[in-house]
Amino acid sequence: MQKQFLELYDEYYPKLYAYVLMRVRHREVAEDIVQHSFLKALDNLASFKPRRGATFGSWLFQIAKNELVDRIRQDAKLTFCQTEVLDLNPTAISTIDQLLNAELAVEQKERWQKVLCAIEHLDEEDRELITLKYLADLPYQEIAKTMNKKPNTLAVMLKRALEKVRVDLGI
Amino acid sequence: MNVKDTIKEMGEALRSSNSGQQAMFRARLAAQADAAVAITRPSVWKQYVFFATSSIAMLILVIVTWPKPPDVVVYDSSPFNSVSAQAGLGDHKGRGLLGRLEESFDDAYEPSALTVTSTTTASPGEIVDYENENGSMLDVKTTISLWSTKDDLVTPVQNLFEYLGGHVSGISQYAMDQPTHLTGLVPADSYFLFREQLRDLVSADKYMTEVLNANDLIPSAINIEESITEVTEAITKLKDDIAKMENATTKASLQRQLENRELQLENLVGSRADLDENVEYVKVTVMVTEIPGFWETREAYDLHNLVMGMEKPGSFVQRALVNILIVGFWALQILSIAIWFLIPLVIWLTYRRRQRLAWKDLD
Repeated sequence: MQKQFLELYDEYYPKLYAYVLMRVRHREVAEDIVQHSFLKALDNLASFKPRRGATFGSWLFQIAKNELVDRIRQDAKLTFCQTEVLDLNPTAISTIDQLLNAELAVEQKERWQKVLCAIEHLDEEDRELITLKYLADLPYQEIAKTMNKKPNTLAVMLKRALEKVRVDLGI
Repeated sequence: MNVKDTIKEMGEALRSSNSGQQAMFRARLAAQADAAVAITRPSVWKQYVFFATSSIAMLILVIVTWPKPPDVVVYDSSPFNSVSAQAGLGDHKGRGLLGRLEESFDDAYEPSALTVTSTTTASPGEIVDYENENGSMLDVKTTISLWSTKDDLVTPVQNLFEYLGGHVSGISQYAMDQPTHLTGLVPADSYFLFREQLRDLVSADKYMTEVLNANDLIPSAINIEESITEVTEAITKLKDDIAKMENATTKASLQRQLENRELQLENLVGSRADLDENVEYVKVTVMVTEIPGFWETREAYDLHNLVMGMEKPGSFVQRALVNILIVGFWALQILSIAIWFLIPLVIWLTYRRRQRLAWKDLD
């Protein structure tokens, strides 16, 4: 049965890492939070109640969010990603190449950076939705459980959020 | 620029940017998952067996070490009452010659209230020996039962005998949890003081209940008492016969017999009075019993006796209340012991069920 758990790990680790990284903007902290979340999920597997409609993904993301909040409380330097706050936070990463720790083509780097900034300008809920949907690649069903909203509502919200990004980018 | 595609590209890059750490942590998680599965697998029952065995062992331990109620019933006075009923003559205290054979320390000691039963085995030779040694042929043998939480009440009681000019002739204990019997002599004139001191001794600890059981066997006294009874009956019969008789000669003859009998009775009563006055020592047996933990309060002990029918039971409502109290107490005890067993069982079953559901979902 542990094999099934590892399969879930393989599936959700990248998604969770992308989500957490976007929130904390610190690679090592993000790794730590993700790992703690998986360990916690393993320890508390008995309290996971699939009959209530929750999926393993939504449950795992909820654990990660709690972990994230705890970590932010412990470390005042960490913050939810907001452009203004990032400027005041010396440990946070604001550029996309630093975030990915990779050399990117100039054109691609500029494009991604602009989009990233536009996402930063969104309000908390829209930013969370875009992060979960496109960066973490979660299905609507799991996002709905994580954000406690109906899938249809999320689809509408996402459309509007993308529109805001486009407006911000001047497209 | 297609915003949605760009964000998707970014997401893909982000998700794959930490594959090295992902692989490293996977190995660690695999090891932990093995351990977690081994511990929480529903079929693993050893932990519960260990838990339950410990609980049962604890239960057995509690039952085995549970304090037993005292074996000696001190309220039972029926043998003495039956003897009292046989006594025909009253003494100067109006109590009956045989007296009240069971009395508490609250009653004043009355030397004349001799205690006689019908099971004497003492021979005249023994009486003479006793007189030579102790200076009196009259021996009031009493048994005093003490219930005390004090570990060693024997030594103080022994000292009390000696302090009052008497001595202890024997100490016996048949078994560890049985009462200790101290038999000894106390000067008659100090007997009241002896009883008072004894009561103080026990009260200083935790006064429970004290019963004086006077079950003396005094051959001389018995002989006198039997004679008095016999003469009294004869006098009554003679008086009846004289009243019925019409023949003057026979009546006079009976009258003489009656006078003789009355003289005889007078002598016997005089002898009894002499015996009373000659009391020098009182033979006392003190029974010292430690109170088991459960019976630490007199109320608890009395309550127990009440329920067990050893004392006057009181009204129906009182008895019902007492029964509810006792049953409730035991129910509480059993319940608290059962919790040792039930709580781990419930926790284990709940955990097992949840774990099974969780694994089922993962499958």
